[in-house]
Amino acid sequence: MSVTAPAAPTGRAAPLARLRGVSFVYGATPVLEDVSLDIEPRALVGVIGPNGAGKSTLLKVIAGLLEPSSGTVELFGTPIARFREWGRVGYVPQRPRLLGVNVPASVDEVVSAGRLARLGPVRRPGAADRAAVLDAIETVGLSDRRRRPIAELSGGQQQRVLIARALASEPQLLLLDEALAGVDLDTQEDLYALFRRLTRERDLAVVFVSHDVGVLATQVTTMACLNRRLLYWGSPEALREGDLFEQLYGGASLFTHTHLHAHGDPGPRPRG
Amino acid sequence: MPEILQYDFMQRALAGGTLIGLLCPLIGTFLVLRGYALIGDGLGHVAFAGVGTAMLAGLYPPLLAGLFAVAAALGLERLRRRPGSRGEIGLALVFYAGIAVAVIAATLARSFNAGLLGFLFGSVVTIGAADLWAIGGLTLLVGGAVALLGPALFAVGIDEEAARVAGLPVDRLNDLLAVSAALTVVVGMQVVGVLLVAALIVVPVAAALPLARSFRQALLGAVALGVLSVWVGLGASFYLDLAPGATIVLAALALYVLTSSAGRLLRR
Repeated sequence: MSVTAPAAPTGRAAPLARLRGVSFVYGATPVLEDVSLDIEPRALVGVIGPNGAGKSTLLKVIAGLLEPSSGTVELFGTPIARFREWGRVGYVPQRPRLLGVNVPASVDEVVSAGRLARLGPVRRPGAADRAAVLDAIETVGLSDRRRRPIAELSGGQQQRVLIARALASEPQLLLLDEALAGVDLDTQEDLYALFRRLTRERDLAVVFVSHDVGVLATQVTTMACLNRRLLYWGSPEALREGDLFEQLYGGASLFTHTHLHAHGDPGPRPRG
Repeated sequence: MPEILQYDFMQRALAGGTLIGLLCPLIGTFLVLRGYALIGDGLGHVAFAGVGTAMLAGLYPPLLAGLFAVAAALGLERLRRRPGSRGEIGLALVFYAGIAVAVIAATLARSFNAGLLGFLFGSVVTIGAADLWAIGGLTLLVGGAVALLGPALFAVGIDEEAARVAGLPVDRLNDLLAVSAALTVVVGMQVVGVLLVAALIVVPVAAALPLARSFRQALLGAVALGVLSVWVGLGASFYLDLAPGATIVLAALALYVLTSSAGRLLRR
């Protein structure tokens, strides 16, 4: 199975991530079974599936946080055990632990922490590193709040701080684990537009895990339906026509959600 | 020269106390960031068991205290890493084991009052030249580590998972912080007692938080308030003839009341 995203202008390089026959067992419980997929540059992949389908586990396996029980994972053509260029992978976790941070931390400090993926634990940031951090903050629209403690920001703004932290290492593969849950709809829409722009401008690929199927289906180029096994990998349109979704969710309808723009690709919309 | 500086023992107390006042909040800010505010107290209990055991076995107490505390710090760190571990309970079990072993060992060695209480309450006014070297050396080491690895320790403290994905050596950084905390507690307890060390790891940090708007401000503020607490506490204890260690803790708490009131006023 392969993503149908447009090939990078430089021709076909190795996929950003390649999984072959990946299974993950937690205790005695199988969480992932025999998952194979390629994530190509510029892909926008939406991973959906019922609770306990292994969506977060899949993302953590790609991010190197969990080691598969069997199967292989390659990042940028390198087996994950030997992969060291972690600056090329950005990860935005499911629950912003930052919300419960015990000591004040400014937006600038949190985003700068993401740059350590390029710098390593010891090296001091140079001009290029500062520029990347400022650019990441600018990209998520928080430049005017750069010196604010994150505790003073709204939930949606905090979520954007986490996205900026992931962007600060200038990743080529961005993994978002329910990262837009609890973010207001206007902000979600801005962020999806931002991700589309980044795929064009930086050849970034983004993998979203979300419960919000209706929104996701209107925003991504590839849908991945997961229920331990990868049941579908392809365009959202083809998924709409099949009956797989009903099998997965037992009759609930995929595309009658009232969220966001169920009517297709949203253009720029004036803010009220 | 003010009267307080005319005595050798007060000069050494000021020098040693200043270093402790600097070192403890420096480590403490990173510990509080990770939700480990009470680990100083707990490691103190364990070091205490080392002191008791050393007295019973006729060994050099600081050595055994150091070994016990470092082993406990590293052990707890590994316990915490296990998926689904209930680290808090493990923490409590290790700590109470520590204090029980300490008391039994010291009672058997018949030195409960003489030796052990000194480590519990210590006295900043009995600091010797060798103590000063030990504290100075450790302050340099820990200060250097924080200067070098501060940003990485911060990244791990706010989000361990993201730090792992960023390729940072998360486990080694956590071990480094745990060992630094253990050594700070052990060196500090010989000089000023477990009570003061554990308090200075947390209270100046708590006092710095209400006014800080960044981690950097919290860290520098905590260190400044730690040193200030030692100066104010030592001065007050000298002129009012109070127990110095406890007076320093009260001074730090008074600073906390001041800054948190100021914080509330500012936010209004």
